[in-house]
Amino acid sequence: MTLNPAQPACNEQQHWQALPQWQTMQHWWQQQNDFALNQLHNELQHQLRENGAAVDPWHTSARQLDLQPWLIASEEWQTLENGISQRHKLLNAVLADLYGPQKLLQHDIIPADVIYLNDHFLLPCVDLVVDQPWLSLFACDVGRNSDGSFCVYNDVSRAPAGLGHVLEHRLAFNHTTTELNTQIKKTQLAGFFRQLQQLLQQPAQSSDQQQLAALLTHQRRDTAYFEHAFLANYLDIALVHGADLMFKSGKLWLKTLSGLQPIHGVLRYLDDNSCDPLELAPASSGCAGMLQGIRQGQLFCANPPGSAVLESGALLPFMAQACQFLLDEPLQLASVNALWCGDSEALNRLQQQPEHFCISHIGSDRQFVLHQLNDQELAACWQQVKQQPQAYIARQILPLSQLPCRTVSGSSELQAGALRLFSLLDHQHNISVLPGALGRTAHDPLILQTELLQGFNQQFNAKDVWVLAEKAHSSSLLHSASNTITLSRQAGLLSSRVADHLFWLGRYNERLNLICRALRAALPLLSGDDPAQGQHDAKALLQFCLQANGADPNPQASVESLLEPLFSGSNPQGLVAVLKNLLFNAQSVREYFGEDTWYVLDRLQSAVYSWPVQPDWQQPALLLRTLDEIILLQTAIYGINSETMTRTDSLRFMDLGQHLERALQTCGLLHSVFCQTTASASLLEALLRMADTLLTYRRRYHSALHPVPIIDLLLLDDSTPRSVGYQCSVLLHQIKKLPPQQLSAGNGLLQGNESQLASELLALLQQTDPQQLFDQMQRPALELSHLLLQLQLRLRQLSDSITLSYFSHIDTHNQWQRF
Amino acid sequence: MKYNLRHLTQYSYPQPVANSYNVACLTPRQLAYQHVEQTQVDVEPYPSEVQQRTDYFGNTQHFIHLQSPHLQLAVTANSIVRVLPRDNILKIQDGASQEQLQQHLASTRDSMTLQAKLCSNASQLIPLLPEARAIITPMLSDSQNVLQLAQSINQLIFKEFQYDPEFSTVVTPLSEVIKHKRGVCQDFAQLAIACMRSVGIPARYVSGYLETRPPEGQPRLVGADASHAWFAVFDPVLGWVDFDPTNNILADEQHLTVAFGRDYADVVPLKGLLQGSGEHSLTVAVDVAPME
Repeated sequence: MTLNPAQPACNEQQHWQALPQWQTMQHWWQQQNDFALNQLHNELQHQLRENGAAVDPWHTSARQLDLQPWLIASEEWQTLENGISQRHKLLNAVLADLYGPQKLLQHDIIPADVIYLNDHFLLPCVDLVVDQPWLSLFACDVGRNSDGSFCVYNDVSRAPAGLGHVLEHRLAFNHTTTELNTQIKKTQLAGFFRQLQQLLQQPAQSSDQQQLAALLTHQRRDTAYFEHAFLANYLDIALVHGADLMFKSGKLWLKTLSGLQPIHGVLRYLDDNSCDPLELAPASSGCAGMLQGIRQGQLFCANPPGSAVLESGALLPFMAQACQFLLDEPLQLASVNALWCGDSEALNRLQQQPEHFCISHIGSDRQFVLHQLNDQELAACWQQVKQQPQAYIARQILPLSQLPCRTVSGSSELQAGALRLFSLLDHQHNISVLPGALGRTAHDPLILQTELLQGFNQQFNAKDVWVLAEKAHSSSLLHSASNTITLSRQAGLLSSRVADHLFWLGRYNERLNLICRALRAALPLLSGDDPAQGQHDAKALLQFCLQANGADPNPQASVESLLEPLFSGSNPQGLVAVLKNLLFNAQSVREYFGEDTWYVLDRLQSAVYSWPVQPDWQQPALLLRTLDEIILLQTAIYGINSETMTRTDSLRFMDLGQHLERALQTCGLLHSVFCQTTASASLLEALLRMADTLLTYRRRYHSALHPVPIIDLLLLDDSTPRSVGYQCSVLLHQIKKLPPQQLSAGNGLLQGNESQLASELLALLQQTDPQQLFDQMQRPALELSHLLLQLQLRLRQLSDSITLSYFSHIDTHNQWQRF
Repeated sequence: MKYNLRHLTQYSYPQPVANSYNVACLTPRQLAYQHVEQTQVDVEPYPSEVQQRTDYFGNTQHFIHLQSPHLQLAVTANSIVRVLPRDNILKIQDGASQEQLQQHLASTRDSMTLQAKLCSNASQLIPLLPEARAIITPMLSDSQNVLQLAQSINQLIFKEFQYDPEFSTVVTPLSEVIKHKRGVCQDFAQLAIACMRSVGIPARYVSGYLETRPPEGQPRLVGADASHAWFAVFDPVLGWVDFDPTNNILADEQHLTVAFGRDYADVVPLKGLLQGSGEHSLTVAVDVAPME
C-alpha cells in the first residue's frame, strides 16, 4: 500500500456538465428571481420537522436543506449500487463469521485484537442469530477521491441515522419545487421503504400474514428522536421505548391498553449494549429477554445487538482481503486508505508521512487528526499509540468533491460533499440499495469525515440526492407506499406510555389555556378607570394564574411581583414552564399528530416567546393580541385532533386530561375569586368573560352580577361547557368507555375505581344547594371554600387513580432492579 | 473423586414479585478431567420458561422467566460429578517460557489460542491496572517459565493478602482489593488474572466449588460449603492450567469446575432482574458431598 499525499478535490459539476438534466436545472434556476428562490429556500426549511416546535425555544435549526439537489447520473449510480450491494453482502458475512466460526480470525484475515479490543464486540451475542441476516440494514459514508472515484470511509451497522432525513428531504422537494420535479426525472424512494416495511412486518419466510413491528428508540429528546418518530410514522410501525416492551413465552410483546400484543420485527435504534439489561449493560433502558427472543428465532431485529462491531473503522484496512476470503471476488467499491497500527511496518510508514491521516482508537471515540497537532501533541499521540498500537486504526482524509451550495445570503459557493448510502438485505438474501442518499456538505471536508456522530445531532447542511432516471415514476411517494400495504395500526393498540403522554398533553394544554384566559381578563382591569380597584381585581386572577401551575398563594404580593414570575422563563410555575411541559408531552407522542398540529404547536411556541421582556401594562392592546392568538391556536389543537385522531382511545385520554384539568382549575379560579379576596362587580364580570359565559348569564338571569347565580353557572350546572359539573359528567362518560385492564399481572389485579370517583364528584355537586354556600349578605361562606378544596382533592385523586390503573407499570421510578 | 453436588440459591421478597428474569450458570462442565454423570437445575415456583444454551466459552447458561407473582425464588442445581487427578504440579516445569508463549500467540490462530488471546485483554471487571503490573514486575525473571510465574503469583497472593469475607462484595473494584490487601476467592482470582494479563499472559476466571474436609474426627456439615473461584493460565502445550490463590495450590481433584470466563461477570452463578422496589434477602447453601 502506498500513502498518497493530499490531492486537490475534484468538482462535482465536471460530472454534471454532460447531463441534459443539469442543463435543465441550470436553466430553471436562472429563470427564478432572488425573491422566488428565497421563498423556496424558506419553504424547504419549514418542511423539516425539527425546525418546527422544539423543546428548546432558542434552538437553532440543526439542518439546512440546500435548494440545489445533488445529481448522480444513472451509469455512475449503477457502479455505486453494485459496490454497495457487494459491501453489504460482505459485511453481513463478516458479522456472521465474527459471531460464529471466526474463520476470519483463524486465517488471520482480520487480526484478533481488532475484534477483541473493540467494546462493541459483545460476547453474549455469539451465535445469537441463526437463520436470519446479521445485517439487514446497512449504510456507509462515501466520498470522492481526487481522481473522481468513489470510496467508502465509514460503515454504519447500527440502524443508520439519516434514513428518515432522506425521506423528509425528498418529501420537502416534492412539496416545494413541483415545476422542477416534473422536468427532471429521478428514481423514487418509496419502493425501498416499502421493502423495509415488509421486512419488519413479515419476518417469517413462510408467513404472508402481516405482523406487528416496532421502531425501538432511546429516551433522549433530540433530533435523532424526531427522525425515529418520523420514520415510524411513515413505515406505519409502532414507536416504542424499552419500557413499552416485555418478554414472555419466547416472544417480545408490546404493552398496550388492551393487553399485550406480540411484536415480530424490531427496527432497533437503541444502542447495542442498551438493548437487554439482563444480558448486556445492567443499567440500560432496553427490555430484559430481548436477546433470548432473538436467540429463539421469535424476534427479528434489524440489526441485532452486537452488529456495531463493524463501526469505528476497525475493519477498513481488511475489507479487500475479507472480500476475497469470504466472497471469493475482488472488492468493487474501494475503502479509504486505512491501516492498522498493530502492523509495525504500517505504523512506521504512517510516522514518515502522517499529514493526511486521522488515527482513531478502536474501543473509544478517541481520535487524532494528525495534521492538526503541533509537534508536542504529535509526540504525545505517538506515545499513546505505541502503548497499545493494536488498538489504533489510521484512516486517510479524503479531499471529497466540491459542489455548489446556496449560502445564507443567497449566493452560491463551493462546499465539500459526501453521501450516506443505505441498503437492505431481505430474508431471501436479496439486496436493495436506496436509489438516493443523504447528501451532506461542509466547508471543511475534514468535518464530514471526523464527525461521524450516530444521530447527526450537530448542525449540518444537507442536500437531497437525485439519482437520475431515464423514465419518470409518476406516483407520489406516500401514495405508492400506502396503496400496496394494508395499514397495520389498529384501534386499541395504544401503548400505555403514549396514553400517559396524551393525558398530560390534555392537562397542560388546558392549563395554558386557562392561564391565558385569566390574563386576558386581568390585563384590561389594570388600565381601567379605577386603578386601585383594577389592581385589586387583577391580583385575584393573577394569583390564580400562578397557583394553577403549583405556586403557593401569596396575598401580599403586588401586581408586578405576580406578573414577573409568571413570564420568567426560568420560573417552574410560570407560563413558559407550562408550555415546555405541553411541548414535551406532545413531542413524546409526535407520531400521533399530523402536520397541521405541528404547524399549530410551532406557531403556539412562537406566540408565547414573542411576549415582550418588559411589557407595558398600561398599554395592554399588543399583549392582548398575543393572548388572543395563543388561545386561538390552542382551540385549533383541540379542533384538529378531534378531526384527525381516529384512534379513539388516544383521543379519549387527551380528552380526559383536558376535562379533568378544566374542572380542577375552575375550582381553583373560583377559590381565588370568592375565597381569597372580596369579589367586586368588575371582577365578577371578568370572571364570566373569561369563562365565555357572560352572555349566558345575562340571558339566563337578566340581572346584575350576583355571586350565587355565578357559582351555580360555573360550578354546579352541568350543561354549561365551562362549568365544573359539566366537566365531571364528561369525565364519567369517558371513563366508562376506557378499555378493560389486562395488564396488571402482578400484585393482584388493580381494580380501577375511576368510575366510582367520577360518580362521587357528580353526586357531590348535585347535592349542593348554591344558597348555602353564601351567607345572608351574599358573602361566601366557609362551606364554599370547603367544597372547592374538597373537589380539587377528589379530582387529584381521580388523576392519580387513572395513572395507577393505566400508566403506572411504565413509571420511570419503577426501574429494573438487579439481584 | 466422585461428588454429589447441590447448590441452592434462594431469594425472598417482602412483596410478591411478578416477572422475574434470570440467567443461571450452575451446570458443571464436561471436561477431560471432570465427568458430569448427572446434572439438573430446578426452579421453584415452577417457571413459565426455561431455555438452555451454550455460551462462547462452552458454559451452560439457563434463561429462566417467572411470570406469576411469587414471594420466594429457589434455584437448585443438583449434580453428580467425577473429578480426575490432573497432576499439573508435576508438569509445571515443562511449561513454555514467556517468549515461547508470545511466539505461539503471534503465530497460531486455532480457536483455543484465539480464546487465550481474548483472555489476555482487559475485561469488564479486570481493567489494566498499573498496580497489578507493579506486583508482577519484580517477579519476572528469565529462569521462570510462565506457569512458574503464575505459581509465584499464587503464592504471593496467598501470603500477602488476607481472606476477609467482610471486606468485599461482588462490586468491590480490584484497585480497592489491591490497596487494602483483602478480599475473597473471587477477588484473588481476578487479581491474579490482572497481574498475568498486565504482562501479556492469557489468564481466565474459573468458577466452581471446593470440597472442604472437616477436621479429623468431626462429621461433615451439610450446606456449609460455598461457591469458589480460581484462575487459569494458558500454556501452548499443556493448555489451561488452574491455580487456586486462596489456598496456594493448583486446582485438582478437590476442585469442581462449573464455568470459564474473562472474569466473574461472564459466569455469575445466578443473576436476575425484576421490576419493583424493596429489599430482598438471599440464602445460598452449597453442599459438596464425596460419594466414595
